Amino acid sequence: MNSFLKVNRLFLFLIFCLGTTPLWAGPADWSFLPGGTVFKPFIGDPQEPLTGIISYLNEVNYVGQVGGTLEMVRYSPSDGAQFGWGLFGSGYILLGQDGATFPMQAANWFVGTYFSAAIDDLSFKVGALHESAHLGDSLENIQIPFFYSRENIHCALSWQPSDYCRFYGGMGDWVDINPTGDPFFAFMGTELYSPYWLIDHSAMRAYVTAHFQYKAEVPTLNGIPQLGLDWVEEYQIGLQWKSTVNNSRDIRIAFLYYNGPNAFGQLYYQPDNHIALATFFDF
Amino acid sequence: MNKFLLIFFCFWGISQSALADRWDFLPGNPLFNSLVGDLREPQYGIIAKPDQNHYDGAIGQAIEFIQWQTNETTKWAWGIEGASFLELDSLGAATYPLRVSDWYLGTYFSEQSGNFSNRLEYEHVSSHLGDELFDPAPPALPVEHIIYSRESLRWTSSYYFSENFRLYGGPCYWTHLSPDSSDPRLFFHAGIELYSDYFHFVAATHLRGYFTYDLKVLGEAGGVADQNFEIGVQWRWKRDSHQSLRIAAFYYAGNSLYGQFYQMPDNYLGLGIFFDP
Repeated sequence: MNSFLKVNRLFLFLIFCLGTTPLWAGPADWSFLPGGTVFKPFIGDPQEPLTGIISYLNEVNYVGQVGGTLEMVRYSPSDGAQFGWGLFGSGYILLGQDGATFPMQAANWFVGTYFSAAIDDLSFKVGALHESAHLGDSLENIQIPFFYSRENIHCALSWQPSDYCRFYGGMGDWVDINPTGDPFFAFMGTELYSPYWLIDHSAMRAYVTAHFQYKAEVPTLNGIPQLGLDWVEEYQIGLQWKSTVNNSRDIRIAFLYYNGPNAFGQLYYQPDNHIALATFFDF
Repeated sequence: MNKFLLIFFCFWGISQSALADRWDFLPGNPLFNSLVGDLREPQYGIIAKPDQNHYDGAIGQAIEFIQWQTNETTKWAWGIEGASFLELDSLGAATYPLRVSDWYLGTYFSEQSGNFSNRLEYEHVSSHLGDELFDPAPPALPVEHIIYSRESLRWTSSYYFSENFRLYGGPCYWTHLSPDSSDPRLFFHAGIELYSDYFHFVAATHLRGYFTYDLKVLGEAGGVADQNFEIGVQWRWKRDSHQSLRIAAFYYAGNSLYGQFYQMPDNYLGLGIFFDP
């Protein structure tokens, strides 16, 4: 089938889903485009769909990222459980610096959908994700772009026993992976928070995150496997600032340390080790 | 160190603002409603362009830091906005190579008094050729990569005559152009938004129809008028919810909105789904 027709069918399917989801149950239990998400984002995951600016401190690079999660429908039965379905999308751009210009080196794009559930301290999410990576135009005639496109199915479980800590883990499988490789991956992490302190009309707290990911995939460069790139670690220490304690919107400023394969697909065969100063806007 | 100090002082400045009375920090809804007919307004969306066999993706939003009230009727706001737009080709076999991507980052101040609102933006845009069109490009796609980087000041005044009719417009100025040119730097942006009344839709949600016309008149490329006609439906849970989902068909005529192709005429019919967060 022509790929354009395939996508158009997906387009119509999406419209159909959007149009029929509120019919599933009585309006008292359902909310449409409710704002916020049932499953809270992993703020320490470098590929979570968030908006922010990252300035590397040990090399001249910048990352700009725009993204967000849109919960389409939420079901909240009276027993305290919540279920949500939504879409997410994000774009990441890696920039160098040449005087006052910031040439683009690479970009990644993510789009996906998820179902989530939360009850008491536990929350669960299962999702599907498409990722594509593109070489930046500043590397034209320097590096040959290759086809980097993949889709995965993943799940995550999160446990937040108190306001001060959260633990999570999950795994996934790339059902379609280009360049080819072992499709399995798994991740785990933690988020630790201080108590809030009030700044008149607003609330601030400190936080520390640690995020680890294992990738069974072995990147290749010109057909040669690049070993030792199967482990990603990122640590953040920073401040989170909200208008009120219960507000899901916040600004974060953090120092981060990343070690692992380059997160940009077109450079995935390169090790990347950087510290950075980052500002994130969680909306 | 300079970066750290800059961010520290921004953070400190916001905190001092938040200390004042009548300030709302990280408010839920922006003061200046986004221009739904402007395809370069920060937004989330997917657009299919069947007559070109291309797709557009849009990711982005405005992030309002603070709103403050100076008297009973006047509010002010400050925020930033970031967005990314990409155009994908469709080559069959589920292959969608990137033709071009544009990235926007800006800051704005806005003001609202009753039905009248204003927004002043300072915005940076850079445009990057997609790797599908890198040299050596396919013979049918002769595109030369340019360094496209611009900053602009944009003033937009908006007036709601009623819930069903909005008119907006204002002057804009390119403060920096790369590639540089002697073309006039002043340009104009205007448009209208027409809405039907809401009607109850499934499961107590609300739906309304809308039509927009958006026009940008620019001096570049010998003078060009970028026009977008859009007709669609806007779907909300509650009438006063800010979040909405829009499904629209539109016709665009003008030069390409993507910086790498800004001198090339572009006309297309599109079908889009947009998510207003």
